[in-house]
Amino acid sequence: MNRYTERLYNGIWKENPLFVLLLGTCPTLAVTTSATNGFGMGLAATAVLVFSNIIISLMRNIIPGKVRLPAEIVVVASLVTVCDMLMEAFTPGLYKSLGIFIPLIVVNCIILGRAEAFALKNDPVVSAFDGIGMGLGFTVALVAIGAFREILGAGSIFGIQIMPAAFTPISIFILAPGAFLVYAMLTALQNKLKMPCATNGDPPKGGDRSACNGNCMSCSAFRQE
Amino acid sequence: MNKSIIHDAIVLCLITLIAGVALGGVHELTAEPIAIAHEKAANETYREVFPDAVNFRTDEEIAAKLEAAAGDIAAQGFGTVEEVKTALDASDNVIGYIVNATGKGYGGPVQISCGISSEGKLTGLGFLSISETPGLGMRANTPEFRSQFPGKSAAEKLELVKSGEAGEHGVQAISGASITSGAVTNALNAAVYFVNQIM
Repeated sequence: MNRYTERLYNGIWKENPLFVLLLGTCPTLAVTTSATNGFGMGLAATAVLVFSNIIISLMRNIIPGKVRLPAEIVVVASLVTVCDMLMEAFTPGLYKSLGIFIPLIVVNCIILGRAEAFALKNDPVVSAFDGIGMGLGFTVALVAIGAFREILGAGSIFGIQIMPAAFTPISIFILAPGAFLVYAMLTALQNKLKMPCATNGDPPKGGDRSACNGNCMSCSAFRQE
Repeated sequence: MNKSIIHDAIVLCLITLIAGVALGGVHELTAEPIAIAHEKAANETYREVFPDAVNFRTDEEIAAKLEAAAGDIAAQGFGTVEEVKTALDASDNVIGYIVNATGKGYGGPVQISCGISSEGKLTGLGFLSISETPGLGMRANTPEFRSQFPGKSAAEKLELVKSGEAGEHGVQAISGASITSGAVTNALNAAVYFVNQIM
């Protein structure tokens, strides 16, 4: 695996932003009411992530270390707004289905997290691949959670009815409390099975420093000044 | 120390400035296409809710009446009316009105657009903006719910009917989404009130 495909594998599986890094929880809870919504949010976030990684990476030698956070936020927020306006103006059809997710991306810490942890230290091309990987990982996770909630809460998946008529949808799963229930169960399961996850307690001894081992201080993504 | 603070501040200021200018530029570039896209989308909805009409026009006299009656409509406790357009047939005769009204839903305001013919019948109902719960309130924006409106009487207030036949003066509620159904009924009643009492 070369360094580019390694980034894709890393984002989708090894350091999946939602399941392993537990980043971007806030928009996740809000939009995973259906698989379709999860897919839309995932794609919109991927687009922004790729461009923000490229721009931050290009500016990595200009941005002063001490004020890098405000500088990154300015870049990300501007980019999201530009995306929002361009989509609304030139692809109204796409905007109609994805538009409500765009403003949510500003508060998505995956974007800032990747800018901070990766793009600031790497060249633009590999940063772009990191964005694609992380974005796809986010999309896969959102669709999975969305599908789970939709099946239980509405008896359908991607809007297509799949459960038999005798099944009474458990509406709470597509309401806000359902989001917390599903996410909590998922994390509890990961904890029980000792799977890599940011919420899992003790880091493995002398363990793998590149994947998330629960020890933020030893993380490869942690920026050492 | 002081020097580096000033240096950082200048760089940050420049980054913000460039971002601001870029945003302004994109806004200039997209303002017109966005307005056109909005108008096109609204016109499509109008055509759906008033299929007999050929053209829609903003009437200044009606707009003035609407402005004057805003408090009166709000006092009815239904919802608000934002815009009223006249619906015209091929030879420019007024055959009814398009009324855009808003009711308070579960996930925020529910903005409807409805057509009311000169004979006092509803010609259809569409949504300009709706962000209700998928699978529950969002079912309002499906043909099953919307198809009940054409032909209903707009002569008086409509009632929300939760079980049984809705009839000519009733709106059949969506099961499990009474707040959304109520929002639609309220918005519709604000529109009906305006057309009947104020016009």
